[in-house]
Amino acid sequence: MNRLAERIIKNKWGYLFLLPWVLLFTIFIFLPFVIGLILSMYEYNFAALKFAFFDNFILLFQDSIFLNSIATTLLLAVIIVPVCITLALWVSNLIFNSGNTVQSLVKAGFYVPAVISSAALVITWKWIFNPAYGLSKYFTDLLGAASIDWYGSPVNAVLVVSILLILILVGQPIILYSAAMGGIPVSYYEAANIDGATGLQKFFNITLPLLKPTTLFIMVTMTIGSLQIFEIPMLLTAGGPQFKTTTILYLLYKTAFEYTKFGLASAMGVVLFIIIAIIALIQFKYLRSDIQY
Amino acid sequence: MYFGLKVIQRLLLSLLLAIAMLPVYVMTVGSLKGNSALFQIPPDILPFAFTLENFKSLYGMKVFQWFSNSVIVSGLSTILTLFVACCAGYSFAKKNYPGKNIIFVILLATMMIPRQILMVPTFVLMRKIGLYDSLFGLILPAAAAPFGVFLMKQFMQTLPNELIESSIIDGCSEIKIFCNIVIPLSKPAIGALAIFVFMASWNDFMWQLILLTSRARWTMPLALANLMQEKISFVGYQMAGAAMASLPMIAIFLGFQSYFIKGITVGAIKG
Repeated sequence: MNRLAERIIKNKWGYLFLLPWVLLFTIFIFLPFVIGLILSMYEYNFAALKFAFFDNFILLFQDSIFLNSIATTLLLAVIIVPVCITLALWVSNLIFNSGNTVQSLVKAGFYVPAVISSAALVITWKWIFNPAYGLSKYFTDLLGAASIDWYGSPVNAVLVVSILLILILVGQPIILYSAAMGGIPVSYYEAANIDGATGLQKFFNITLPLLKPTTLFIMVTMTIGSLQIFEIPMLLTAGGPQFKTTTILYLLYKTAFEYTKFGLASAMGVVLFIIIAIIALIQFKYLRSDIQY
Repeated sequence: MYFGLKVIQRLLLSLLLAIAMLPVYVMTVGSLKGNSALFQIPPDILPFAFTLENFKSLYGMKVFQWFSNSVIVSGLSTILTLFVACCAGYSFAKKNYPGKNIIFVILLATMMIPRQILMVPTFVLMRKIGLYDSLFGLILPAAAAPFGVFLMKQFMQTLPNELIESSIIDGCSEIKIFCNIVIPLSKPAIGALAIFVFMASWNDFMWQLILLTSRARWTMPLALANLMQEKISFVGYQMAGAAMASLPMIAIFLGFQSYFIKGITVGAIKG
């Protein structure tokens, strides 16, 4: 024990530099985390705090809206992640041999939506995809078709939300893939050219396999990100119609701040944390075996 | 035939790029048009006949207070995060002490904590400690984020130890080594982190929504969301607000593009 104390004092600067972050982390991340776990076992709505053991969790799994929100969130993830990865691969591959200006332009162009706040994007998106006026009405009028009711049918609503999300999320994979492609030795492609390989063959046999670590990383981070989608459904469709675009986090928000059921909302948070932790662990384990540090 | 395929792909790419740029175009032009122009069919969004009436109305709604709230929150969040991340990153990168590895593993694990589980308890906590409806309620938690520490640690690890060791031999104090050697050498990473944090903080709708309520404390994204509801038929005002909130971010992004891209790739590719 004395030796440990000696070592601690000898290395005090290590601890001192760490202190600001540890302080902030403990108060604003660790503490809320613990409170969240505890609160999930209570009923709390400002007026009263009542111990409810696992009642909240039982309630949740009988609630069709909650289960629906899990389905919706997974649906969005299943649409968005593959489309973004495919799109990013295609774009990165296309611009890879072009000059620097083209590459910068394309990368910047696709990343800009990620830089703008969701509220601003929704304002423009709502106008573009408005059934009564705006661009989509103009186009459907041109084609002589009835204007599409984007927010009335679940399919359309999911579509509108997904397209906007893909727009926002596709920029980062493009940048990552472009950087990773730069790390592939040119000699591989030269050898393939000598053997008479076509562009498609080069892509599927050289580029794609060597991009596997990047793809896995993008898949993990995007999946975890998709499970936390909140702003777009809230602002664009208010989770409608009939809760069909309500994601888990949006439902959590509604439960806490519109229905003032903080205990129930905390329980939701715990359930979702566990889901995300499991997915993250599985994907992380799978990823580690492929990456060298 | 192969040549044709390339051309088609390039055309498709241009189309997609145009779609990606569409919101920016709409908000820029839309903000400079009268409210009725956007309701016309076909909508009047050609870049002529501009007017500043939308911005005048926003000024009347005290938009500058919301804008300055955003600037204060983002600015202070950035400064605090940089300070905390540099210190902690230095500690992880160049110092050794008992328990270091455990704490670092906790840091890594924390990066996976989703917002869901923190949303309600943070709200409850902020109310209890009196940081509710305060800009500091946004600033302080922002600096607790593990990403900054992780980024700085990764970068500082690449700094040569010899430099620090020779400074110790020369009798430099710890703080001097940190301020005069480590920090100046870490400028690229600091730049990337600063831009990241500033932007993430500016656009962080969820926490702003939960922790700020009074009108005077709104940040730009909150103000925009409220504009959508209060001034539902005044699309011009909404567009002007969107433009005010977004154009600074776009300018920063385009100006510091290289820092940005570096930050994204360093955070990702190094594992």
